[in-house]
Amino acid sequence: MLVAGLGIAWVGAVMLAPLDATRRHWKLVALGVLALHLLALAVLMGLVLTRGPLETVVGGWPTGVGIRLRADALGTLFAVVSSTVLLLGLAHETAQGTATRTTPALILFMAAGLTGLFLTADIFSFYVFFELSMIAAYALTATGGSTRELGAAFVFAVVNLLGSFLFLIGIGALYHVTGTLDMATVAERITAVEPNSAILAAACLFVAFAVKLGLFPFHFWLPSVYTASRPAVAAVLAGALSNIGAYGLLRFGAGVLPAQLELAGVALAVLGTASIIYGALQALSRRSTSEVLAYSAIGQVGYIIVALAVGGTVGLYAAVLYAVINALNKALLFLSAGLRGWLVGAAFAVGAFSVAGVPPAAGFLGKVGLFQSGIAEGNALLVALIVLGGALSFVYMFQIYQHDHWRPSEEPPRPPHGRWQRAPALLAAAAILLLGLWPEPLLGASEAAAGALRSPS
Amino acid sequence: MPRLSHAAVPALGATALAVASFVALLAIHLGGGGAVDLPWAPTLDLRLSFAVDGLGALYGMLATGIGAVVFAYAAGYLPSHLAHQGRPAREAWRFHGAMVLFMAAMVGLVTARDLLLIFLFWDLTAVASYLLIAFDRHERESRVAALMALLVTGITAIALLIAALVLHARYGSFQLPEVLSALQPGPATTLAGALVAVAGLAKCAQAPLHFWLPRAMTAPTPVSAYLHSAAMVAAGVFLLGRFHPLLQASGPLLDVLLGIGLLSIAVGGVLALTRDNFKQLLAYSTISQYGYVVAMLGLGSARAALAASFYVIAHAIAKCALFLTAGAVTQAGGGKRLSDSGGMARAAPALAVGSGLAAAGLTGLPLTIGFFADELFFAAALQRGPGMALAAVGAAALTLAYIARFWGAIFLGPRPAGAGRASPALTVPVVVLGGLVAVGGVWVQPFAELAREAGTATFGAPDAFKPAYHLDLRAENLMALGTYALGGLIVATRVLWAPVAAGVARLGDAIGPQRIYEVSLRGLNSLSDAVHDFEVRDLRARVRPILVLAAVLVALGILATPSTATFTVGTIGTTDLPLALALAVVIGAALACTVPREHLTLVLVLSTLGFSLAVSYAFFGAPDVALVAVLVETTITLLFFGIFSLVPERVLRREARARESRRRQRINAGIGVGAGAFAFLVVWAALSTPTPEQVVAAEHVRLTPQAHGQDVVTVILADFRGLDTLVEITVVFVAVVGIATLLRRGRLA
Amino acid sequence: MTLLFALSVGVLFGSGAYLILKADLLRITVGIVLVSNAANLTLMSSALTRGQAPTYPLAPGVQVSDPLVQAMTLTALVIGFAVTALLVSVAFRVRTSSGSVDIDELSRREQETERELEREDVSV
Repeated sequence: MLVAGLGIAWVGAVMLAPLDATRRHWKLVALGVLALHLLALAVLMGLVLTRGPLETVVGGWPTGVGIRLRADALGTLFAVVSSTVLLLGLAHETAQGTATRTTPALILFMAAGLTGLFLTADIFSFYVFFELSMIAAYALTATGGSTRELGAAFVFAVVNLLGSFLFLIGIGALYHVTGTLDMATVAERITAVEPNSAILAAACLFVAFAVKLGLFPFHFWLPSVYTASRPAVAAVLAGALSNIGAYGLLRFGAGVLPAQLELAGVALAVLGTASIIYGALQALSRRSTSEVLAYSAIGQVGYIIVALAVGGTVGLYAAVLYAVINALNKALLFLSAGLRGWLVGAAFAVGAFSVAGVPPAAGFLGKVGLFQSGIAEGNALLVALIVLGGALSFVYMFQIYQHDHWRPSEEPPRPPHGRWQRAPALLAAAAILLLGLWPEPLLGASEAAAGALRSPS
Repeated sequence: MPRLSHAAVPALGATALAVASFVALLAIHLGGGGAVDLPWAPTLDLRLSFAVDGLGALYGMLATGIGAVVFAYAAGYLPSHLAHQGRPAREAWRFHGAMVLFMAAMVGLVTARDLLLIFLFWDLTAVASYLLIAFDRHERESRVAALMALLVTGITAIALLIAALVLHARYGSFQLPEVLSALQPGPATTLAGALVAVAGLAKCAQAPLHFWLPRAMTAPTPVSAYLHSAAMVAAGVFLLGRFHPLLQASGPLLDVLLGIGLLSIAVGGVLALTRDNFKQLLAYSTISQYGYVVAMLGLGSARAALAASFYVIAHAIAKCALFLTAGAVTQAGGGKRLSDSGGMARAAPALAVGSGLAAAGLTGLPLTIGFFADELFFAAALQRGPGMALAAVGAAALTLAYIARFWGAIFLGPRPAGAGRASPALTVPVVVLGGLVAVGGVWVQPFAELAREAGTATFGAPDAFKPAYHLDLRAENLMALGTYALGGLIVATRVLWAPVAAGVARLGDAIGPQRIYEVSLRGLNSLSDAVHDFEVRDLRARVRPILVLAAVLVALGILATPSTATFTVGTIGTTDLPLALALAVVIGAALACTVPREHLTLVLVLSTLGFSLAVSYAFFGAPDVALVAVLVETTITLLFFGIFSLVPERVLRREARARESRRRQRINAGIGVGAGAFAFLVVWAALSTPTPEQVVAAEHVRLTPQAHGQDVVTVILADFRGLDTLVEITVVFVAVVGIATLLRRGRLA
Repeated sequence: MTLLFALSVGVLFGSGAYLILKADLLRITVGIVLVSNAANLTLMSSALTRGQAPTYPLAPGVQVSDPLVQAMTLTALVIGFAVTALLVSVAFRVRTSSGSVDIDELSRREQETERELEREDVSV
């Protein structure tokens, strides 16, 4: 099952890459492959949640010698969510007819890369998969063709490459101090390492992931890329790719380097707070939906960081839950950003309510988790911060919602969208409502994921 | 008949649903209540638990009963409203959909037992009201009003959520009855109580968070009628009633409630006296009259709880009738303002009677349900003391004055030109409600019983006071008489106080909370614009903070981990000399890369660097790496040359000649040095750490023969870590795909 | 040697960072190559043993170089090469699409688009 989860998208991508995916049947094949991939991951997650983590060492070598793949609740949850977003994004591209020849293959490659990095327990293979999904993302952002998109793609690539190489330096440092690449062994041996060396390697990793996440003040690349890209690409970047950052911080921070994470708690809290306030403040009076969403994304990741800084079972649970819900929110909002019509308006409103934390949209679960971690800590400042961020998100989400969907438009009405063009956005909205009304699976998985971090292997 | 289906089907469906829900609630209540309890989200300790108690029955029956009347009214109102605005009749579906959602949310709210479930329905009422207030969304005023209502009620709802979570953290349960029975005074309890109060007061539009309510009058009349009588605003006082034990346990919170209630009575009443627009007047009257309820809840006695419950019933029926009257008059061409209305009594006698009864009910005249409402109100005030009793009389007199003004200005006096007859479809609901007010004035028993049970559920103990007519000079009767006299006096002396009241209104407009809201919203947007101007948009500035912050973090890391003798210089043995030399060349070449201005020179220096790196890899004892490095370096150099041949000379030359300012160069150099120092420190710290005892590479070397290989590196790549290599190949493949796509589209036409 | 390794990495990284802060897309790309080399050199120098090339037959008692970092560096080298190539072609496409290889120029355009937007009314 583990290999199936990893292999389906990979093989599919390689097969599809040379084919002309602007043809209808190849598009459908790509969708089918991705759906199959998602199904495999969902089954895998089911297995992991009921029977505990699955693991295998590739090639049958002893742990450490070969690469250990390990599917635990955290990894499979992120893999399922990212793949869901990718599937929605690909469906949107297909329905809109904006896909280029290679878009489906690139999205499948990204799915393979993401799944790989969520399922590996080896720090170097994490890097390799990470680069696979990143290079697919670079190619994806650059295929748009307009000067603005290309310029944004260049900036995106440069900044993220810088992050990647920092990550690689961190990996080198970790290898040197622990003599292994296996996450569990690194986590074991790092406790005996000079704190100075360990914290510096951790700082490298943190900067790399913060860049991916678009945390303030590492975010400066993000707004221009999200606004210049097509809605589906922006959805994929915000809903799937940025999960690398959240997952990486959780896995490396809480899973591998917990002592360093604790040490960095204050710095994390400061950066997270700055991100929440800065993102929300910027988002307030932006005139285009994609810009509001881009800055909102910066603000929202701040919550994840703050929850991570709180730490403990409650904090990690809140961070996982919030990351998952945020990914879905962003996918929904970006996918419905370019469309009009009352159904899409309703879908966007669901997303807006979700961001603001209004039930029954799933976003309120994330807010509940955050508040619980703040209250458990007895941290009034944190609670006040979440309230402030939530209040600002009300203002910016609904200003832009009313601006886009309620104002009588002066432009002549656009040609009506086909039935299928709205389907991905509506599906995402339905999923968010469903998760809000029947939250147990998501909550259970998040709790298991947080538990997986607390007791690595 | 498509027109009929769009106009009538949703309205009839909604009405039928409301009637059925009302009957069901009544049956459950008469049957002694009922409860449902199902697991919902065990991880979060949530249960889907509902029960119908006295309080729930009262508010639930109001929401469904008044709902049925309003929905029926809307069946007649909405088609002409939509036709008037040139909108398609199918929008009735959206309207009734949101109305039913509102009703369902109310019923859910009043029967929910789980704290988070209460929050869920609480927010659902905010969502539904948002959609309804903005029903005429093509008008800017409606959009502004909807946003205001959403922001005020939505943001304050967060307080309720926090209160729920604080209570859960303190008492370990989300089940309201369990929590309320375990209450202990203390900071957590007080905090939760205050938070609940904030949420409730904002929802029932109490000063100073009252301003959203008059603005919400931009909604179609049935929405206003429903919002103000049985749904939105009622939810606010319901919440205060539901959590009353918590408020009781929260120190001086009840006194605060009392103060806010009295303030709202005064503010709402005085402003209602100055309003000219029908619906505006009624909106301020709602603020004032819910102020009664809040004040009574603040009194914190069994009698006051009973009085509050009874008042809610009486007020809902009568106020709804008045709102519906306003809509009927306006649709009949009778104007929207008191100043251009009048004489409708002759044009619409039935309407005049129906709304006259309702108005009498609100003012507390005998033979209406309102008399008993005031009787209870006075009784509860008397319990507190003479000061409170005086305030009660003043409040009731104020009510009498503005309601009399409302009814009189519409139905008496000369009739304006163009006023027609009121539509029967709009008149019947008013008459029904007016009749109900009168019935309650004669047969008070069922209402009083319902109120008693609700009051008991609110306060926790029953009160024996029985509302009835007594022909004697007891205090309540005297207070009623005083109210009529004082009310009449206010009406008669309008000339004297009108300028004062208008002044108060103007003052409120200038510095009131609505103004604060508007200023802060505008301020936030301007602040956002200002911050946005600082947001950098070139790559330099995008990269700079990353490098700077990375360096800062490393510095902080070093400061945070004081450790001894981490850094070692290491020794250079004779065997290391070639490597050291190669690295020296690398350092030189890297520094040299920053100098050249011509692109060609730059790439030549870069390839020098690459080859010297390859040489050093060779001296590392890594021939494979060296070989690949040479290959890669050659290809990159060729790639750059290829690009240079494709890009026109002049572009490159212009770029090469572009000079940067000294200052900028210095900044860049500084950041470069900082970034270098950061990387240097990270690597140095890591390399200084003594080699761990168990090294996986040794295993690799040992196991290589088992993998049938000679070269350990090759075996690692092909076997031990074959997966990495597979992915690596895929990365190259994706790069090729990406480049092919880019260049194919990039061909210059 | 430890100090020298760290110094080389530091200089490579610093020079790369300096170049990335330039306005010229090609120079930025060169900067990325430098940073990538810094990472590769880090991997190489994080070798836990240095000595002969790790190829069988091994002479007993002779120390061999850490083969794992070599494998990692090889992988990283190739990946770095792939992304560099992609980056160069993006830079090239920017040039064919905009007629410029200057990042400042692109930023100016982006800012103009933004300013165009900001003129719109912000009200709901």
